Amino acid sequence: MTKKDSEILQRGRLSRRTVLTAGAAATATAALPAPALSQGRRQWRLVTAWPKNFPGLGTGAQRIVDSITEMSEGALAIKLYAAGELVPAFEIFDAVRQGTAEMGHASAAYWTGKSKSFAFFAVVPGGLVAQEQNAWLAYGGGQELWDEIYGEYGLKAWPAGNTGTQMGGWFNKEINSLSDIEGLRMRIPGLAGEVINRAGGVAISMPGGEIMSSMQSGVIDAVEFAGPWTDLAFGFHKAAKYYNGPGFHEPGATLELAINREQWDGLPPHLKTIVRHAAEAENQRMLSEFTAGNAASLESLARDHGIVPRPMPDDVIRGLRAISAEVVAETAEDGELPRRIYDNWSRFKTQVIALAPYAEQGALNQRDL
Amino acid sequence: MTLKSNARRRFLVGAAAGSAAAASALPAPAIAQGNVRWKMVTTWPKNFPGLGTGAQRVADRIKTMSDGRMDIRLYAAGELVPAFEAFDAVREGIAEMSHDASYYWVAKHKSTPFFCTVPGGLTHQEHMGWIYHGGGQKLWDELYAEFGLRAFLAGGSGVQMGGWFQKEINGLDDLKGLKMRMPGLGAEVINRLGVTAVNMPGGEIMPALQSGVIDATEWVGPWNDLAFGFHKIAKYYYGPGFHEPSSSIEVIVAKDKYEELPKDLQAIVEAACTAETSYTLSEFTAGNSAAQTKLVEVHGVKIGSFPKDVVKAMFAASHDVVSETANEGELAKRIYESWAKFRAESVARAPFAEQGYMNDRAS
Repeated sequence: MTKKDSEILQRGRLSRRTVLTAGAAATATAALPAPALSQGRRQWRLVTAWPKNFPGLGTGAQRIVDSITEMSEGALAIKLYAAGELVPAFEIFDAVRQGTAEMGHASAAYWTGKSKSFAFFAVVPGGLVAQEQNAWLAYGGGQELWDEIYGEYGLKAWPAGNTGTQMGGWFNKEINSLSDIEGLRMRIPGLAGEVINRAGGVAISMPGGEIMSSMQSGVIDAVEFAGPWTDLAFGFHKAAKYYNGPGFHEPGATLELAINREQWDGLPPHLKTIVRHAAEAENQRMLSEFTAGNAASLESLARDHGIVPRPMPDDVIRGLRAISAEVVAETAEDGELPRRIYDNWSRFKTQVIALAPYAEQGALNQRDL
Repeated sequence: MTLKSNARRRFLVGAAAGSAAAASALPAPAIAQGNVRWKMVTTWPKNFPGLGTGAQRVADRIKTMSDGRMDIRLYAAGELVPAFEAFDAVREGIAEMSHDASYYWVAKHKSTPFFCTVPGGLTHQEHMGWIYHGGGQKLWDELYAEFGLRAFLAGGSGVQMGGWFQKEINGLDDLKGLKMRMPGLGAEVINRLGVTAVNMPGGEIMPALQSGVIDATEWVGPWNDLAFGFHKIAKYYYGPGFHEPSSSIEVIVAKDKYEELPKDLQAIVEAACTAETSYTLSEFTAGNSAAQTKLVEVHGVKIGSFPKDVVKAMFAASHDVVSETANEGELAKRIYESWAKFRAESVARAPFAEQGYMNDRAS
């Protein structure tokens, strides 16, 4: 493990005591000097689910903060907190609802314990790629449904990043058939975790910063995180030999900028527009950073570490996709709003899948002929 | 995707109206408060689906984000200057900004299409990867600085369709002798395959198809094509095309005027454009998928893909045409090489990313 890797891991593994200390310190710094406040300036906190400046995710959150501060000339100044600095990664949703922080940068897939339907606003197994997901959110009715369901929790969210299609994951044994999933302890969050459970595995959700030590100590046998770029930074290739991809489970994972609804409503129109478009600009920048970073890292994994990924065997993919379709459809049974979310998304998905062979999918395949 | 509406008369009327409005609407107090009023010319009709609507969103967004301190007045193609004069209009100070596609300026420099799309090139997602995080923006800045300009990505149509034909294309022989509407480097590619490429603005395509001046045409994709009604004349719709895999939209700004802006307004202009890179593609993706369903289910259009040998020949000719741009000079060579390296890495990764996933999904 490089020094940088261990620093990243250390930051992600802050203890509860450290969190409390950091929280106290943060409260102190958040108490702004009176002149700033009297000029109508706002000082907000953004809690994130990532180690500081972690490739793509942490750098993306930082760009949002810098962009809002710069565009508003400091009228809305935001301080960024890495995972665990103010609150632990998986407590962000509640922290923003309760006003411990005004904003959070994370994935809606982390909160599927509250409502499984949240997954549609991040990513669902067997679902949409980034381009399709963005189209559904902006022009297919997705954003309105997201507003409705998050409104029930006192939140407002905008898409604020995308990883692109993720890899299937790192495994410490070869996966040749569905039966190899049985008993496999794998870090995999959201609805995909439920798919792995139904295939006989044991899905475990944990923040990025805890994965490497869990792999090394044997707490988990397999992990998916994002793609070659982030995975290389974590050093997963030192803990597992087999790299499979693409995954069935996260074709285009949207990251969210979740905002305390009351605070959002209190912003003047120009600051609302600045926040929204800083998030949407990052929705593109992060996908670009992942696209460039993943392409270079895939080459580096092969050249420097001898790791060449393999696709999952066809029958494994087909099996996991069939379970995925069941798990995703079952979300509609959770109530009236979950049904509307699922139905709207399904209709969009059917049309956009019909377009794909004549659009990006077709073009990518033609290029290989 | 070539549009213009450049009647000289409209130009004069539009220009007169424009200067009158600018002069009358500039109260002294606004100037004292440091307000900025810019003109943005475009290469599209006003509110044309995806392209005109995208330009309008950029202008509106800049005004709102700046709390009215930066006011952008948008001009449709031909209102202030003809579509294909937008690049020079910004250089000459007639307007401060332009919303257009960089491959329209290929006569200025052979490498401008790399910042929009080139035949056999990158998808939108890959193109953004190259521009924002693969060295593309730096090369773009270098090239446009030679013209006193700076450019930002500000939209994209996604992969475009191959086009509308009146007969089935079963092999390369079926292409020979066809007269087809096709602009840019794609025109050079099909000429090498025995087609006669013809360029014309969007508004002239329908009559040309009806009168037999052309036998086939490409335009954009199902959404825009349905609006023009090509399905009424040509029965066969082929796609995707080899020629425009991303078709990115740019916003050009006059470099000196941009640099004079305060930092917050610079950041607002840039973010307004980057956000639109996303929204335009989303609008096209949603529009195309709904329109394709309608073309098939309501209008009975036959949609298919070109046969393998035709695709192979198109990509081989594209490679030749695109790599020849590297011979145009030192900067042209660096642009080609940076792009080609990024393309090679992207092609290697695609089976483990969107391409691999979408193929799994379809199986």
